[in-house]
Amino acid sequence: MHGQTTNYRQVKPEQTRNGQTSNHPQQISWRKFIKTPKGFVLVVLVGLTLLASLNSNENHGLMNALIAILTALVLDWLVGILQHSHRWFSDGGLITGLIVADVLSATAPWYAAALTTAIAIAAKHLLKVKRKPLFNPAAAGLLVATFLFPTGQSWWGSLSLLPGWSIILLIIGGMVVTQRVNKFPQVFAFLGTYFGLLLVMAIFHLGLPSDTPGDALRVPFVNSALFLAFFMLTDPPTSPAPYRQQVYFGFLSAFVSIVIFAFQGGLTYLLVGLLLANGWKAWASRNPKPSYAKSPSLVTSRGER
Amino acid sequence: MAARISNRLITLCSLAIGSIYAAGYLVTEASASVVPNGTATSISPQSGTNPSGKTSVSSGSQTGSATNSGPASTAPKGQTHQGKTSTAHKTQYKDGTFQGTGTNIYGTVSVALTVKSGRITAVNITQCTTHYPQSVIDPVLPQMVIAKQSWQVDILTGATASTIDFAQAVYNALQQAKL
Repeated sequence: MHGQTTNYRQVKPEQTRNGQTSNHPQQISWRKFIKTPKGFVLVVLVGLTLLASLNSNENHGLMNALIAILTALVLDWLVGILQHSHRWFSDGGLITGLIVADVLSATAPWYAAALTTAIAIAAKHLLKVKRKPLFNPAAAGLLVATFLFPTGQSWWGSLSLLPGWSIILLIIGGMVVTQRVNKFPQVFAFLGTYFGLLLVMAIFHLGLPSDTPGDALRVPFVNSALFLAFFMLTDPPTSPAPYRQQVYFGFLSAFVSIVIFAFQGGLTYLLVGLLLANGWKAWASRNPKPSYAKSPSLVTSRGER
Repeated sequence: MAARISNRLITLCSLAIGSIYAAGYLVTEASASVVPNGTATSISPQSGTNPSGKTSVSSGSQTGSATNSGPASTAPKGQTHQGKTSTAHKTQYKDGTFQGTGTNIYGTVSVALTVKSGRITAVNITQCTTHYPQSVIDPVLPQMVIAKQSWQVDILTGATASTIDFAQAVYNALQQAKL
């Protein structure tokens, strides 16, 4: 849920299976948190980030990740104070910071990671529809950052600079996350459309000489599309829950991305496609029809990323 | 309770998408530009195909791309690939520090190139806004320029566009350094 944070002080000791009362409420709280979709995504993202940092060129990325996470937590905490909230820990902000750091160049200066995260958090709190963020915060921050900071975006957290076989780990992690948040129709629609249109481009020799379908279908560029599909596209507050809407959302995001890729190229086509789809989702859900409201939706949802 | 897509459908969809991806991969196999890991090839900011049959892109109006399907040199216009080293080494440079920039659709690389006693003694990357981190090309490519005393560097694995930008930046800096 948007803005959902966790107050671990409220967690009471629980009885263990053998009937004993645990004296470690915080430990239990973390265990519970990790089992939630949001916690699960966080674990997978942290795992990918640590794996990606095995590449010596990405070591600085870990520092940027810490700075981005800290920035997100502090800003969300300050917003919580302004909103008279007692929540002090923003798990959603943590995920946003991690995604921002994973996409930004690992060699970007620390202030770029901090400012990009600050933009993402600002977008989350300022651009809202029905108390939910209009745009994926990380995507919004990263898109704005491309115009403000010449930092580059390497999507290093997608294991793009590790050996090619490591993409299997990305896919496994992504599939498990997608299953957890019940977003398979959306991810399949996105990837099917994305790869299908690239195939059409390749057959008819369409596209820019500098941005070919051959590039997009290979490491490291395909890592970016997979990372976006699994970890950014599936953000519950900014993407639809009903299956039919999920398919439209995935198709639209991929279609826009490929059109921009074909005519403009560059680095932002995936982000723009996602953000436009976010906008469509907000527009489509402004007056939900009865059928829309009755459609299957997530019982639990993880926060904004 | 939310509806859940069945495992069977997940498997079928995964296979379908995998097939589409595989078809695209195979169709683009011949023109794929990404250099396999562990390999390095030469690049050129010169457009056209030189007599050796190796492709290159123009250094004058940069159309730098990651789409080179084969190795090429960083020779200036009119220079063939075979003559790539001769001109570079014969050219006399004046002492000083010279700026150069290379740009393509993936971003920009700028360098400050220092010449002392007619030799390239230092190359500092002053700006790097390409898709990949600066650490991918720094310090490997600057060291390569100093070692070769030429802008003709090898493409670094997975950083083709950055390498082309860098080579063009060094080339432009050397153009200013020419006596």
